[in-house]
Amino acid sequence: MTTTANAVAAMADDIIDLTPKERMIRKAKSHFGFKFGAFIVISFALIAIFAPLFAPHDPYLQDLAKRLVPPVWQEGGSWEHILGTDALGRDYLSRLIYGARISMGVGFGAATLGCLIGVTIGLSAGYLGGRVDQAASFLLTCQLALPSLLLAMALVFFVGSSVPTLVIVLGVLHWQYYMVVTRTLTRQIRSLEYVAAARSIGSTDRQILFYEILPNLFNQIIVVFSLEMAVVIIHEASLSFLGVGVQPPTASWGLMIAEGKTMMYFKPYLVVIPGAALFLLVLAVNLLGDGIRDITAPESRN
Amino acid sequence: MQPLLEVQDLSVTLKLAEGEMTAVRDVSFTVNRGETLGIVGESGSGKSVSSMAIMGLLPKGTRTQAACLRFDDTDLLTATEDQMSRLRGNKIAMIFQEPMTSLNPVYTIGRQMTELMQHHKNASKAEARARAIELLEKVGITAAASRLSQYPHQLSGGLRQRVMIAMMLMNDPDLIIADEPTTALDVTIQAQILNLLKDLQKELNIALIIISHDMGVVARVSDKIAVMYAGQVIETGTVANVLQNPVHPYTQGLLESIPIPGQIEPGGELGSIPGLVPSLKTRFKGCRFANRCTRVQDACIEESVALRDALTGQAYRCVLPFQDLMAPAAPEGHEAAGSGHVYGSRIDMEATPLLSADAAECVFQVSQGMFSAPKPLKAVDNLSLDLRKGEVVAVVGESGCGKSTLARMLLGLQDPTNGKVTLDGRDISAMSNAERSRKVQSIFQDPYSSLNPRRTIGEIIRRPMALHAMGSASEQQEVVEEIMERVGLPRNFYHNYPNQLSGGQRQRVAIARALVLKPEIVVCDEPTSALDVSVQAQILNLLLELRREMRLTYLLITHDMAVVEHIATRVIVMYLGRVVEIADARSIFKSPKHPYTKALLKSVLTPDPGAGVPSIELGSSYPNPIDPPGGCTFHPRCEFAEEICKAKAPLLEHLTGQQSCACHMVAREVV
Ligand SMILES: Nc1ncnc2c1ncn2[C@@H]1O[C@H](COP(=O)(O)OP(=O)(O)OP(=O)(O)O)[C@@H](O)[C@H]1O
Ligand code: SF4
Ligand code: SF4
Ligand SMILES: [Mg+2]
Repeated sequence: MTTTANAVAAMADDIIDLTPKERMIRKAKSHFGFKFGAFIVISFALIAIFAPLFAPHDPYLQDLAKRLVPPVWQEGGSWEHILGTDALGRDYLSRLIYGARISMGVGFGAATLGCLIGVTIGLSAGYLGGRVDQAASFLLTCQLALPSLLLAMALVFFVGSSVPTLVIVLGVLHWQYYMVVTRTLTRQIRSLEYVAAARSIGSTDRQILFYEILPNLFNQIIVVFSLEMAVVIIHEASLSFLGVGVQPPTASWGLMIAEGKTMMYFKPYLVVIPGAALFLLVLAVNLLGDGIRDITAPESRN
Repeated sequence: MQPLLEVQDLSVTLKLAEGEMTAVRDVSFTVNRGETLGIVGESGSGKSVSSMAIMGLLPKGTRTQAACLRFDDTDLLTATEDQMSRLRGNKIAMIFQEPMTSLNPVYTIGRQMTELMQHHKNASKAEARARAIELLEKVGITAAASRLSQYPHQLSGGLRQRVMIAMMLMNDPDLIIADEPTTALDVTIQAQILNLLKDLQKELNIALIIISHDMGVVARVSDKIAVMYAGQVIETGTVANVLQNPVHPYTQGLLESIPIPGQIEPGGELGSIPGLVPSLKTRFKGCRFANRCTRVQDACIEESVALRDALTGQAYRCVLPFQDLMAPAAPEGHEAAGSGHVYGSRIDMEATPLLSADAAECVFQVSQGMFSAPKPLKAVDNLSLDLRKGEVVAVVGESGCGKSTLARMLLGLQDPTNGKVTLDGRDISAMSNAERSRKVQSIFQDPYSSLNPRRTIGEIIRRPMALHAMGSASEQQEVVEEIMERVGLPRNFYHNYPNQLSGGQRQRVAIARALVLKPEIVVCDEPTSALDVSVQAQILNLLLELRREMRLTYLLITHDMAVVEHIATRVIVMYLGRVVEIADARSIFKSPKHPYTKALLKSVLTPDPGAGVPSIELGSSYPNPIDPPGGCTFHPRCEFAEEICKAKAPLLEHLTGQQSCACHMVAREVV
């Protein structure tokens, strides 16, 4: 009879008995995208924070005698300037390392600020509906109707340009996608029975918003975040290129691309190198975002 | 004569992302012209996949194997896609569960009906039109010619299903496959549609396959029946044989778990099958029912079990000889629950009510189009009701009658537009969420949307205690584990997420969440309607046990009269937002008064082989609640209606004992 019992037990669904945290760690360990993304993002962040330790040269030091030295793997390159120098003879690697500070700071900062604004508006519009929703939609229409680059230029011009100003201005101009996504989802979730159930066990509106609804928006918000971050970094580049962003000689990846553009056909590495760094960062953030989504998603039966 | 459709040893293997899954294994049946085959089984048992295989509608990459799969003289296994599509248009027709999704919303009904015939039969436009009108009349649609220019969304569910049937008849099919044709319809409409199908089938000598999870439906319209379990037919034979002398332990259990009016003792325990249907991804060895079977033995799991004949006329899939199976199982404690006293008799009807609604009314403003002004919709109209300690009050009525709105008002989730709801003598809208939730709790209809997918089972059940700051974290966990055990959830589910659980398990989680605060009243909104029959019985038994243990009071909302008879002590019948009859459970079933109550009672389909479907003379379909008929709102459907019914709305009048009824004719003792 024991064989019977065993076979019958084996037929029952075997569901592993792990706490959510253990399960998450286990999933994280076996998720390649997550590990790769996290590795790149963390390394970039460390390099940016400890820039002076990593940079071989002073990023602002001009040496007109060594203008446009190509990177080491090209003919005429030297190990002294691994990634070459720019039109003013500044070491490109050092500028890239210092530039990471600005680009990552502006990217994360502005995307986070936009996220806070957009999610707050979207949640309230979707949950409360009625007047609040109408007001939010009006705000969205206004924002979409305005040319945001022009607006950013005007704002930065009046307030005076600095990195915090850039973060705030770009953040304030990049909340729309968060808002649209959160609002739609919140409206859907609001009418589900688990929200009614939460109210009937005594939850207040705030508890419902933060405990029941917000965690269910997490996946979508992360996806928007990784996309917006790339957009913001490129926006910062445009502003810098137009002269209202980061002021030279400060280095930022966007500015490096902008400055290199004029010589793109003769010296492609001027654009390719900061471009590749930007691409790698955006890719890593996307992979990390997808990874977090997969890891935190409750797995299903099927 | 060879049968019209012959299916032998059909196996279907679906391709999924994670690999292959055999959804149907060794299924055999035959159908003759003029014969009805019923296929019953719980959800996921492979009923639909089998029928799709016949229709050639399975997704690409599916492997279909069979010793024989033949329709008339076409071999369906080797038929080309071209042949199949001609067959589908002309010879085999399929009726689906949800008529709205199977009719194209952007074309008129006329166009959809005539195109089919013009396409497949090369009929002229006029011919096709004439036939469409003839068929619409045949399926009982009045003013058929004018309906042709209407769009599907302009019709009610019942009408849509009729149109669907008419459409299927356009090309004179030889075989109709109806997959849950009435599941999406109200009970009073269900009977009409089933009768219609049955009549048409006899008249036109069609072969009919009717697929349903509802034993009652299948029993009453079929000649033969195949019971499916986990992708296999486990018992098959004539309806009378299978239902009167079920051989397979699963069929026996399934039949016992159906509450049958007049036979089940109120408040008693229903027979139920322990455990759950295994996932089809399981690598089965031996009998697929082994993990739930009370007669399981070593031989059962050694090798796969073949279908074999019982002398009683049916075939069954079990290793035991049928004589052994027919003998009653070891007498297990099936004792009556009431232990002497009559169910519900201990309730003190003079006590002050715990929860009451006083002339409560709920009006929604509904806008019907972009440009029309919103119109008021009275979801609940002047409704009064009292709930006393220990009662199980059932609110019954068809969908759209305002049952769920009433529940929301009683839960304090919806403020009444007029009148008020009082809990323990205090106005419920003046109470805080926290205060109210300690007294009244709820269990919702859909266990798939009532649990937050991002929270673990443990978190969900514990949440009410966390909100009310009851005890330390470890104390809370202890209580949760205790209650999980009490409602029959394995302890290792604590850290699982809802979508890893089955419907029945999720409903247990919802019950546990409702009970951790030890409320006095639990409002259950259709607690079992999303569940399979054998699981429904488990949940109803659990609710009754918990009531006894925790002295709970239930307000039960349902459309299923059989469930009502089983567990209610008092019944409220609602129609279009109004109460039409209130009475204690016994009187409602012994002497129903209101014509609508009578119709509802008639609509219960118990699994009586060959009993046919009682015809319910409820003229038109359920009215649109946005513009209810004047006077007695039931008059367009009532066979006793007279002039006064159209002019004046009847009031709820007290008859005898606890029974009251709102009907002019009952008051005059005509009915
Ligand atoms: N296209 C498909 N892709 C993947 N799995 C499928 C597909 N169609 C059906 N299944 C699976 O096959 C199994 C049998 O499904 P089927 O639809 O036949 O069940 P059923 O008996 O009709 O159930 P219900 O009563 O819920 O309609 C289920 O596990 C289902 O999830
Ligand atoms: S084969 Fe065994 S387990 Fe299966 S139904 Fe028969 S007795 Fe039960
Ligand atoms: S009042 Fe008239 S229409 Fe209404 S139920 Fe009674 S008899 Fe029928
Ligand atoms: Mg189905």
